[in-house]
This record gives sequence, structure tokens and C-alpha cells, in this order.
Amino acid sequence: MSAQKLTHIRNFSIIAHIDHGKSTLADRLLEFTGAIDKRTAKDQMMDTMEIERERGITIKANATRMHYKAKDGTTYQMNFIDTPGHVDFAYEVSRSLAACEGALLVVDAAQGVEAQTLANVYTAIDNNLEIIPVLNKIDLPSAEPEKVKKQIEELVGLPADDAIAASAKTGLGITDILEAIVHKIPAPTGDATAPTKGLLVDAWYDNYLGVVVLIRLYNGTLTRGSKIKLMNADRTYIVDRVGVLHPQEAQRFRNVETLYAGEVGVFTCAMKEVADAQVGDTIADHTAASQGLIKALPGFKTVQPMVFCGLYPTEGDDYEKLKDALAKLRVNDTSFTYISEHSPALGHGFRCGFLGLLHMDIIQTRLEREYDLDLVTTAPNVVYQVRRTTGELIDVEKPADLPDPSQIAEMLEPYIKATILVPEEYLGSVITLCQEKRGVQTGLQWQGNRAMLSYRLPLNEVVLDFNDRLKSLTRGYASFDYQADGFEGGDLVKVNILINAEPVDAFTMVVHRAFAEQRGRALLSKMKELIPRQLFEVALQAAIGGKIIARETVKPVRKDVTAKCYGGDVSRKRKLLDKQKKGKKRMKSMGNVEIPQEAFLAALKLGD
Amino acid sequence: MDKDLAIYVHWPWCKAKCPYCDFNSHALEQAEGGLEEAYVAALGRELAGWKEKLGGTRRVTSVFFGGGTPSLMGVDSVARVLNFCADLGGDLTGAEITVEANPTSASKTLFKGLAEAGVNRFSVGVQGLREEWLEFLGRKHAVHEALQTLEDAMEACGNVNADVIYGLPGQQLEDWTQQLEKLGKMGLTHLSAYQLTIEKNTRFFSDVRRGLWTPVDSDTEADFFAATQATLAGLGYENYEISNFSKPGKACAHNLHVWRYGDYLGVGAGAHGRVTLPDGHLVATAVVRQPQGYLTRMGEAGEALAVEKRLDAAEAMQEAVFSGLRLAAGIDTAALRKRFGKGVWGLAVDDVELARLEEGGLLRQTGTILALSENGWPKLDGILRRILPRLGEAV
Repeated sequence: MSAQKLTHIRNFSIIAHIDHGKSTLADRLLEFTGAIDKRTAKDQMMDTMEIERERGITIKANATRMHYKAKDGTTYQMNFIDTPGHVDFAYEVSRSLAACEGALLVVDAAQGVEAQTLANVYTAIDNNLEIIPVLNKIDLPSAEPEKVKKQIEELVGLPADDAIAASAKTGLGITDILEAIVHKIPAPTGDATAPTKGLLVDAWYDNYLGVVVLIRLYNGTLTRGSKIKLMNADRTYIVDRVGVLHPQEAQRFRNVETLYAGEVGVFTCAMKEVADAQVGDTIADHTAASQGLIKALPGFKTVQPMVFCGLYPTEGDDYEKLKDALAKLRVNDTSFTYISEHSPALGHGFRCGFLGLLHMDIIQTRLEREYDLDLVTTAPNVVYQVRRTTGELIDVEKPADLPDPSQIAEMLEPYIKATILVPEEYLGSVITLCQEKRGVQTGLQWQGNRAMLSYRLPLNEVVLDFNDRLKSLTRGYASFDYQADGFEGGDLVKVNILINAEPVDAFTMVVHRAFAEQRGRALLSKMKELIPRQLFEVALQAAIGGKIIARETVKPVRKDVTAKCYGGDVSRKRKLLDKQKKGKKRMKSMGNVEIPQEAFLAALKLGD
Repeated sequence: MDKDLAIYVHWPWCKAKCPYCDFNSHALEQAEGGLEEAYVAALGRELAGWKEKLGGTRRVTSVFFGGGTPSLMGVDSVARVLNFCADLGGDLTGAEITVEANPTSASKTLFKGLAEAGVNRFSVGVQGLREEWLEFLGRKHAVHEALQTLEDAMEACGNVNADVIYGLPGQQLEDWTQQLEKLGKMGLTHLSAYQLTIEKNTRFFSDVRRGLWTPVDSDTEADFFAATQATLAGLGYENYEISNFSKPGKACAHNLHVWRYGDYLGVGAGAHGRVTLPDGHLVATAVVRQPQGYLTRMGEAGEALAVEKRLDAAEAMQEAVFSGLRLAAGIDTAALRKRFGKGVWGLAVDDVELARLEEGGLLRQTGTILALSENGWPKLDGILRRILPRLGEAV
């Protein structure tokens, strides 16, 4: 009932590269503190989505509270906030980390530091978190703790002398970790008697509870009946239920009477949709906020999709099903966007916006898996900023929507800061790849026989095929991560693809002028291969404005006629014709041109 | 309803089965007397049955003996069948009567006898004028035998066709046109020049699938087709149907009638027909394929139709378009609308596609006549795929 002293609270997060053992470590911590019953536990207790378990990744933030009786005899309340690890969710990560005072940096003692880890560690450092290095999988014969410690010091810039050697699998070092959380991570500060103020860490929709909001409380208390205001959204709510999250409770929700300053918990407040609970918003006492007594927390922003692609059902009849599935997914993931669009080639579908490539992949996979949809995905593109000659700055999410060149004063494209860790033998080819992708090298550090390359790259080039090429060039040994790094002007042009002089939206692309011809040519030659010869010549052209930069021709078929057709052949030949026409159903007609859907798909996937 | 009738008589036996042929033919060295007799009798019963079904006589404008190898029939047999046909048509005055003949089974005497029996047109399966092509095609005759057969046929009657096949793997264009010139200069009234087609259920089909040889590509086919047209045009032949060429006025009346979608009876094993019954319904018919099965059914039931299907107006319209566009003369759309119903055209033919193809220069419309253009001529199948919607899916 009473407010716990803040000195007994620890809020922490775990930063780890995929497969370095974050989820297993979380499971062990929950077991050790008695938060879960080992007999009923399953693996990856904190990851609730099927796709999270399957891929070993975390997509949605989650939290759990545990109680640990430390060697000093005191019982500590430990709030573990599980964050998504991937850079696509960089903003969510930054807010989750902002809700903590410390973080465990978990590194696989055999694999060493990976690129993905770095970005999150830097975010944690930016948020003034105390970081505890943990060398996991220490029991592996290939573990090289000393080498990895050195990597942490040199690449991450953190002292790693007293890094904890652990094995989440066997339970080795778990007590050391818990003790380190107690002794190294500072207790939260805050005043339970001050007006309520907290950070909205995340929110999700629960079928039974409605919208559940995850909060880190800085000041004051939160209890049933509290009148609160979401300061950025400028909406007021009455709290109707307060709790903490627990993986083995129904709906993960364990009711508590009151949340106090310094704690992490959840509440519901009859909020209609998750979109109303924007990550990073400030949750404040309504009265105090209305009187201007509370300042909103820094760092709030509305996330914007960076990568776009078209999603079309393979079967035209599935359009409504897709629409329904997108609406359902968006209930819990407001960071992706979708608007209906129609392509003469692909029919009815949606143009969708994502935070990044992984996010795109996750949504596609969930649509296909959870909603049993068969989808056609067009080549991804990034968002461009276009400064019109009128001075107006507009965002363009679809290449075909670019204004006429005469109205464009300047085009800006998104850039990223890329970090690539690569074994020595592949360094040369990776540098060549980065240069080819218009990258500018900003750093090169050595750690043993591995190099840490820093590059500034246009995101446009990265979404095309960077990741795949990096993987194949380095046989999977390179690790790659990136952070958004603003927009910059570029000599970009819109390349239209014309089929018999008609532009086809689905193929329109924005490319750097230097690559325009080469890309146009490559696309056309692929299309030429895939479009069968037909009654008429098919002229394929790539054009910048009115200027044709590449062309190909699919010559018309010259002979296509049954040689013999007499009285006895009519029925048979007509059946044959019908059969051929059945195959034609999958053809998309554009005027006099018939293009097999496969040709569209393959051409759209040119970058792969 | 007064409608002219063409009669197709199928003779289902050959001395040997050719490796490219998927027609209903069965190898039989010599049809024994009993078998031929029974078959001819069955044909007689079939035709008598039709007379009854059609409720009287219909003018018969042509009789075509095809096969198989109908030249294996005796003159008497042909004469008897012609009598049955005359019974159905009143008489055969003015009718075109064709017998297909194979160089391995046709003699001067046979042609003479057949001509005396009323046959006024012969179609000879020459297929090629080079020994290696005849061998490749599995023909059992030599070049000189084929030429002799043509001479014999022409001596018996002035109206003779030669069937020839082009587009054989490795065949040279000049070699082919030389063959055509030689045939054309012989004074034949008619030439059927077929692109070699690999049909299912033939030895060639298996050969190709096993990779023993590769059929020529469509560009080569087109070159051969163009050269065929040019060569025969130079010799005074009109290309009145995709694969058929004739001297003026000597087009095959029987096949013209079929392509124009006139009524035709098909009698004998495996024969197909399209007949308008007295109640006005058009039926598609097909006789049992196996000769033995045919004979048994005829003996037991007095008829042997495996298929007797009423065609709805849209199906019939599509068949009429399908067949008629093979002709240089094209189809009369007004006449078809009148025959099958005004509204039916829209169900059977995709006018939007038609307009596109016309604009693209593959079809041309002159008044109510729709025909392939010179450009569209070798691409009929592709054109039909575009303009004939799958029935039931259209609209």
C-alpha cells in the first residue's frame, strides 16, 4: 500500500545482438527471482508474438517486474523493460531506454560485438544509462572472453574489465548479474508526492482489456480514478485499472493498487485506439498539466515511415481480406501506414509505409502467415523530400507521384549512418560495394582481424539490394546496422518505364542520375526476357522526362497458327484454344500488350 | 430448312502409321474382304439413319473420302458409298467428290475406276519430293512413285491436289521452294502445304520430348510460310486458306463448305459432323473412334455416335468465326448474326479486342466482311485467343 522507497527500485533493459542470448537471459532472470514458475515456463517468455519467438527478435516493448532478495538482505523491485533490438525501431528503443537507469550489454563471448549492438549502446549512453557488460555463452568451447572484452573497450568504448562472465543457458553468473543490477545501476529519482508525470513507453491493444499503456512514472502516483492528460496528444483520460506486467498472468496484467514515482507499470483508461497513445508522449496529472505546471518530457517525436512498397494480393479476390488484415495489424502497430492504390498491372492493392526493411519484412510475413494471404510486393523505395520551385517542401512516398521536373527546385533523399563489422579478408569488397552505393567513408577502426567501417550512405541505395549483396560478398560474416541521418540533396531523377509509349507506374523508379541509364537498361533487359513474344511488337523504354535513355523491343511472334483444321479438328482445336486462354487469365493486358504477372514480379524484384 | 450438306466419309485404315499423324488411322496391311464389306455396309446404315433423322433429302454438294487411306478401298466400295450419299441427296449432280490417295496404294487403274464411279477430285499424300524427307516422315514410297501417282491421278481426272509438309528440321528454304515449283509446274489444280506440327500421341511427339530432334522455331516457320506463299503465287495459285492453295476456281468445295460452317455429316469411325436438325438445332457429332467398336455398335444399335451435342448459339458462333477466319475471304458478320442471333455476336466475340487488333492491322473489316490482313494471316491462333472469350467467362 505504501510507496516503496526509491532506493529499492531498479529499472533496466538488455541490449544484445540477435542470437546473443537476450531472451534466454531474461528467462533466467525471471526464474531466479521467482517471477515465473520454471515448470510452466516456455522459452522466450517476454516475446509474445509468434514471429518474435520464431526469429528470436523483439518487436514490441514489454516489461516485467521481479523481486530480488540481494546479498545485502534487502529485497529490490526490478523492472525489466524489454526493447525491440532493431534499428527500424530506433525511436521506440530510445524511449524504452529513456525509461531505465541502466542496461545490460549482452555480448556473445564467442561471436563478439556486432554492429547492431553498437547503435543501441550509443543510444543508451546518450540517455545516461549505466551499462553493465555481460559476456554470455561463456561455457562455449569457442568462447574468447578476453578478446571480446577488448572489443567492448575498443569498439564500444566502455571499460570491460569487470564484465560478468555468464551462461544464460546453464544459469552461470545470473546471481552476479542481479547483484550488479543492484549495485551498479542507480535507483530512480523522483517525488511520489509531486504531480503525476510519466513517460509513455509503449501501448498495445488487448482483446479483453482494450488499449494497455506501458508507463515509466517519474513523479507522483497513478491509481484507479486518476485523471491524466497525454500532453502531446492533448487528450484527457480517467485511469480505470493499474497494474504491472507479468508473463504468466492472464493478459500479462497483474493488478496493483497504485503505481509510484520511479516504477514501471501499465494502466488502461478506456482509450479507443492504440494510435492515441503515441510512444514518447508525456502522461501528466490533468490539473497540474492544465495549469502549465508540468513540462513535457524531451525527445518526443512522431515516427514517419521511411520505406515504402506496394502490397497486392496475388488473387484479386483477396483485396478485401488484405484490407481487413492491414487494419487489424495497425491496431497494434501504428508505425506503418497504408493507402489503397490501383496499378493497371497488379490490380487493387495498398501502398504501405514502414520504419525500415525489417519492419516491412515483419509486416509482410505476418500478413502472409497470420492472415493467410498470398502477396505480391513491389520493389521498396524510400521517402523523398522535394522542394518545389515555389519553395514548398513536400514528402513523396511513391516515385510515380513526383512532380514534373520543371516544378522541382531540389530533391532530397534520406541518408543513413551505417556501421559494418567485417572480417579483414572481405574489407576490400565491402568498401567497393559502399563506394558503388554512393557511400562516404567516415571511419575505419580495427579490432583484431575485424574492421569496423563507418559509412554515410543514401538509404535509397540500401533498400535496393545492399543487404543481400553484403551478405553474399562476405558469405554472411559481415554485420550491418544503420541509423537515420537526415536528408540531403542529390542529383536524383525519375526514370519512367514505358511499354508501347505508355508509362507504367509500378515500374517508375527514382535513381541517381549517374545510375539511371544502367538501371533502366538492366530493368528493360530483364523485362524483355520475361515478356513473351506476342501479336504485336512490344516497345520497352526507360525515360527521364521526355528523354529515352534505354530501349528494348520484344519482337512480335511471326507465326502462330494451326496448320490443319478440317471438320474433324474443330472441336479439338477449339478446346486447345480454350485451354491456352485459361493460361492467359494470369496475363495482365495493357492495351495491345499482354504481360504475364510473373514478368511484373520478376522485374519489380530486380534489386533482389 | 433447306441447307446444303457436305458428307465426310472416314476410312480408318492405313498400311502403316506415319510418325507425325494423329488422325484416326489404324495400321492394317490389307483390309480383308469381310471387313471392308462390313464397313461399307455400316456406312450405308449410318447414312440411311441420317436420312431418317434429317426428315428427307438435303442437297449434297460434296463427298470427301478421307482417312486413313481411302485409296485402300476398292472402287466398288466407293461406288456403293456414293450411292448411299446420292440416296440422301437425291442425286450427286454437280457435287465435288474427292478421294484421298496414298502413292503406296494407288494405281492408274484405281484412279480410272474411281473417276468412272463419279470421283472428280483426288488428293494425293505426296508429303515431300526428297527421299530423305520421305524417310524422315516415315513414308513408304519413293519420290518417283509419288510423282507417278500424281501423273496417274491427273490422267484420270483434271482436278488433283498434292499434300506436302514443310518445316522439317534441317530443311533448307531453297530446297523447299524447288519442290513447290516442281509440283506447281506439273499442272496440279491444288496444293495443301502444311507446316509440320508435333501432335500429341505421335511418335514425333515422343522423339521431340526425348530430345532426338528439335522442331523449327516460329521465325523459321514464318520464313517458310512466306516463301511458300510467294512461290505458289508466282505459279498462279491463290492462298485461299492458311495451308491451302488453288488455281482460280479450284478451291476444295468440300473444305470451303466446312470452313464456312455449312452443315456436314461425318460418317465412319471417328468422323465428326455439324448438322442442323429439322427442329433447327445445330448438333456436333462424333462417331466412335475404334473401327471395331464402330462396326459392333452399328451392328447392334444401327448407329455409333460417341458425341451428339447440341451447340448453343454462342458456341456455334465461335466455331463459325474460328473456322471462317482461316479463309482469305473471311467471314460475313452480318450473315452470322442473322444465322445465330444478333445478340449472340457480343457473347461470342470480344469486340474491344477485335477493334484493337483491327487498329493494329491484323484484321480488316470491309462492310460486313471480317478477314485477316496479310499481317494477321500467319497469326490466327494468337488472334483467336484474343477475340474469342472463354464462353461463360465473357461479359
